Amino acid sequence: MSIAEMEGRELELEPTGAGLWRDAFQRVRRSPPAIVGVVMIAILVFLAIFAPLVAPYSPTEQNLELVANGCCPGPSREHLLGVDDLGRDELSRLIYGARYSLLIGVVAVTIGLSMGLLLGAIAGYFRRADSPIMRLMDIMLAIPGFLMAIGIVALFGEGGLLQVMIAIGVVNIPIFTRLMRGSIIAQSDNDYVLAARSVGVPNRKILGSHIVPNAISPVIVAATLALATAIIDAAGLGFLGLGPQDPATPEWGTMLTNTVRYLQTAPFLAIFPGIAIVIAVMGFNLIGDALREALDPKLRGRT
Amino acid sequence: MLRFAVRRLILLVPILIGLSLLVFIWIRALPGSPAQALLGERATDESIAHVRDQYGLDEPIYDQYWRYLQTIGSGDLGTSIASRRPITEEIQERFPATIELAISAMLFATLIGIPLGFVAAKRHGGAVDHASLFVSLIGVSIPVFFLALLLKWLFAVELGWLPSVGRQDVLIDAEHPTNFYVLDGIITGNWNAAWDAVKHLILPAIALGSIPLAITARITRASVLDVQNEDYVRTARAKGISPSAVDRRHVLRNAMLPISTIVGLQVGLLLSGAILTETVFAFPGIGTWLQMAIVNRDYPVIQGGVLFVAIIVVLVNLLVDISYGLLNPRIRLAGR
Amino acid sequence: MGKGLKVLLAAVAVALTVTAATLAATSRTGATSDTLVFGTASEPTSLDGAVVSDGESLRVIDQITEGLVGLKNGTTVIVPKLATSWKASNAGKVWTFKLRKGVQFQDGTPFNAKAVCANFDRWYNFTGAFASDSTSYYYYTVFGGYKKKSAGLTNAPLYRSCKAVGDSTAVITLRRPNAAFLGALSLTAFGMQSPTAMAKYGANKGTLSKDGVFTPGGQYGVPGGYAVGTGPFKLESWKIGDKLEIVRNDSYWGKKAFLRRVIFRSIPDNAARLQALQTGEIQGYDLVEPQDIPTVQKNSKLKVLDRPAFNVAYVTINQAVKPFDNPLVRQAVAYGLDRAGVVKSFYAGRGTVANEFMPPEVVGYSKGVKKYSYNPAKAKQLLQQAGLTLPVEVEFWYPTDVSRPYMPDPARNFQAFAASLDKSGFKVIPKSAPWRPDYVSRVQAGTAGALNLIGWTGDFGDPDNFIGTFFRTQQGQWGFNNPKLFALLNKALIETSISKRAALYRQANNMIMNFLPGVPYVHTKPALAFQKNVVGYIPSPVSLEPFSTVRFVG
Repeated sequence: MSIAEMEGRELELEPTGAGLWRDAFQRVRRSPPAIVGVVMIAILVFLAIFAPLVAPYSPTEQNLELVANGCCPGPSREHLLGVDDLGRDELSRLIYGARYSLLIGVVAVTIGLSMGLLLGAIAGYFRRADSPIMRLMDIMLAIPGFLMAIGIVALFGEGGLLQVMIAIGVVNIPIFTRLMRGSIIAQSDNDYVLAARSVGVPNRKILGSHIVPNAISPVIVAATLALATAIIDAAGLGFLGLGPQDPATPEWGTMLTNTVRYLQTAPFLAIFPGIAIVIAVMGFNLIGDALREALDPKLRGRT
Repeated sequence: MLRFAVRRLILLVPILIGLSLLVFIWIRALPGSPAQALLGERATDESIAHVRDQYGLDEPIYDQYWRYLQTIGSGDLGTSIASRRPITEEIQERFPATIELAISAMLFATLIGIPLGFVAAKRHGGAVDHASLFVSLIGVSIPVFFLALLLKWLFAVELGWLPSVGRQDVLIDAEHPTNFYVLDGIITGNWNAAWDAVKHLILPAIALGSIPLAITARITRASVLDVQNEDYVRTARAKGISPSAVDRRHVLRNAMLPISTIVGLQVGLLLSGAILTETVFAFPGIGTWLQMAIVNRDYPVIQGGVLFVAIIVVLVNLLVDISYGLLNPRIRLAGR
Repeated sequence: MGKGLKVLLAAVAVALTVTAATLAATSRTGATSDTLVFGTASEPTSLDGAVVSDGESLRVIDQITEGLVGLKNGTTVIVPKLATSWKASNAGKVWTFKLRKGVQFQDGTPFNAKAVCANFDRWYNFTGAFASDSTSYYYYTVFGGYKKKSAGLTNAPLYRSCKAVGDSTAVITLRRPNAAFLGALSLTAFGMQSPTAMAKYGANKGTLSKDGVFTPGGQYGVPGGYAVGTGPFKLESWKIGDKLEIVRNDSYWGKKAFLRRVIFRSIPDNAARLQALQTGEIQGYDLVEPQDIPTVQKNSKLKVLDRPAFNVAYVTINQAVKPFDNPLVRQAVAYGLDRAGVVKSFYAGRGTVANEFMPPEVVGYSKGVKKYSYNPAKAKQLLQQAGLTLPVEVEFWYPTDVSRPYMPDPARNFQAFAASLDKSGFKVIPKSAPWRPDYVSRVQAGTAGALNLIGWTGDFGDPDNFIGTFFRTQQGQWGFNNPKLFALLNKALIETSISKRAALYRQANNMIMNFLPGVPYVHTKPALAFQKNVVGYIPSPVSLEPFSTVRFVG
């Protein structure tokens, strides 16, 4: 990049919200990693929605005869990825499992996002509420996130899907609170806002076309990346046995932990769900990274 | 600078009070009464009443909280229900284990992550760059426990190169004056024990270090890219200073600022990961201890241990802030 | 990206191939030939046999102390140990024990009648924290109570007194006859401990700590402390999180141990214990999970030992929950559980389907009990006959964080049973809780749903230790009151004629399986795994397994 180009970039005026997004979309579309990420997630979403059509078997249909001679027979023509310790088709369970991982991720992030945005907005607008809210966030951040998630599940007395989603959601609150508050404070006395205000642009329009789009873009990036972390944390909680009460639920983390005992005889039972988790997490990470690069004005123009 | 540190320390007080309050409320909110948990399976109405009385569980809640603060202040954290041992004693044994593991993980992460990120930035767009991006993508995308299981399965079970569980081989007679086993081996001149402790650390450290490695490599790459285009770097290059000297004097030194911050901020992440890593490798650290305490409702351990860990996180973050202040002249000036 | 994954998979594949070649070559031989390292599931809670009830404590204490009577290795046959002979008189209320001469405790204290009485009187005089069924569990269970009534416990002490007649005769007087008394004395909990050492190290100190937990107050039986018996091994050191070491007692009265020392190392994770065995970090461990048995058997350096089946796993049916007070519904449960399928597929050939609440080896096992085989159609029909609309909702509990010999993977058993019940007109609502502290107390209190998974391992070879423990009194777990059954079992307990007793227990077993308080489903042979060069370990049905007979070959 030449100096002229750099200076030209610095002189460039801040685009309006719509332009920013169109621009970002263009960038994401041209980034190969982002495309890979989108494809990965699209496949998972497709599998999750159409699981009953795609999966060769029911995820809960047992066949004890198949494991009568030890756990567990590996991949075969009938069962492409083998069967688990109760003779259930591993592939079908993995396909249905996409539902749970995506659901847990989305719900958990939505909980964290909505609570966080609300608290962050309050802290950003009302100076009096700022300090107490932010100190509370400091306190929450002082407890290692995963430990806090375990603690929250413990409050319910038993593990479960809803409990896991709430726990991970709560752990995510400080991230979004800080982000929202920071954005609002930074945006509200930004030069272009002041400039717009001075030429008489109405407040509503400033809010709609300047503050919100610029404040929301880092939130979207963070939410995408938080989806990835939420899926990992949910699997981790499942791994510690805090997942769904019904052990037959084909949740990837639970599937992994329930078959760790067969790591020697049937390692595929732990490895396949592990790989499924990695793919889902990687997909969201790739999209999140690409969005960040595309939406961050400082990074724009760089590969 | 001193004033900056003092001010940060004063800011710590409300956080610590809030933390103790949060932990206190949380324990009271856990299902099942503490008396029931303390007495275990064979609790009778009579003995529950006895314990409630002994614990002051019928006193007003603020009196209980005040008593709780006094207990913590006195340094006596009580006795674990599960192990029947004083909690301070357990912390003395388990905390060094986790610290040792965390330090090893950070060593692994920085020793590989910083050079990887640096080279990636220097060869921007090249093969190393792509490799580093891929490694850090894998690093942040693979669950710690899954990586730990794969490592254990491959290197301990299948290949038998490294031990699979614990901190030290039982057949090694070693003294443990500090409970940092590697250090203990060195202090007592027992090289065999020190090497054995190192071998026990390798796999857990790699598993735990995977996310920090990914983040460190990423941040290094990004900040080196940033700094490279700064005016002073371009000026230095224009002046004809050799590229390696520019890298050393300007690029790396300035890039270290964000890197060191990130490294410091990963302490919470490390402790979260330690819970799962320690579980997989049966490593007797503080992570599994707390997790089991929560599952088993070991109330004394929960109220002492969680607070202890949280205070450590807060203190480390404070140290990071202060050292950041030391490194960054802008903040240093603002603090005056 | 796709390329990256391919590389990853290729790497794993290469590693796998390399593995096969290197596996045998890399496992270490580990210990020197006079030291055995044994992997345990947890640390002992104490080394004072009187205050423990968990297997890992008992395993170690077994090596250090001995009782008046013992069991012939590998059986439940009572043999002389510290007593060489005994005689019951006065209708089974007075027991005279002739003691072995010339025996010393490991601290040099002579073993004599005074020492025996000191031990019995110590148990009987327990007060405070010691006089609780959670601390001195076995004493309370067998002897029914202490000198002073303990808060919250029913107190019906069996023991009256112990008298030393000279050095080598101890006379123990009971308040009433009890057929299980002699067998119970083989329990580790009733091992003889040195009165000198117990006094010196404060074995009777110990309070309800400020946390309300029993905490030994002295130095006896605790980590870093002391424990002194007459056994073939003596305690060397115990450090939590590190190891527990016992060494050979070179002045043992009987055949001395082969091994110079045995190290117990706690490895809580099952898979980790297996791996430690494969890498040679340990030379043996207990409770190998069924799915790991083929792995051990295939390894040329390892072997599997069988422990005789002396347990029962069952599904509790809580009659306090409606409609399970209806016998038809209980029968429907029995017909709706695919017990044969579970036993066949999950127990690696080491389990037999249980038809009653005690294993066939125990006196009083009945061949004529009513049997229930998996029959979903019949289950549905019974439910309809009971006037219920299908499906009948049922809360079914299983434990997490636990593996028992009779139930290696509770979640797996649960899932299979839940599926078979769902096919039999029920609708299962799954519920779980960690084994400790919640699950067991819930089951005992009767708050673990209508159905739950649990089981029992016998402590000694007496039928009362099985069905007496379960059904002799009214209990929250079962939620029923059946005076006829209680009376029959109480009558059997004090019957001293062996043949009459057996008949009474057979009658009780028949009655129980008609009444169906629960559905027993498996008796299993637990497995131990060792390095192949370890010989002389004799598995016992009640897990009383001496390390003194163990040695290395080759």
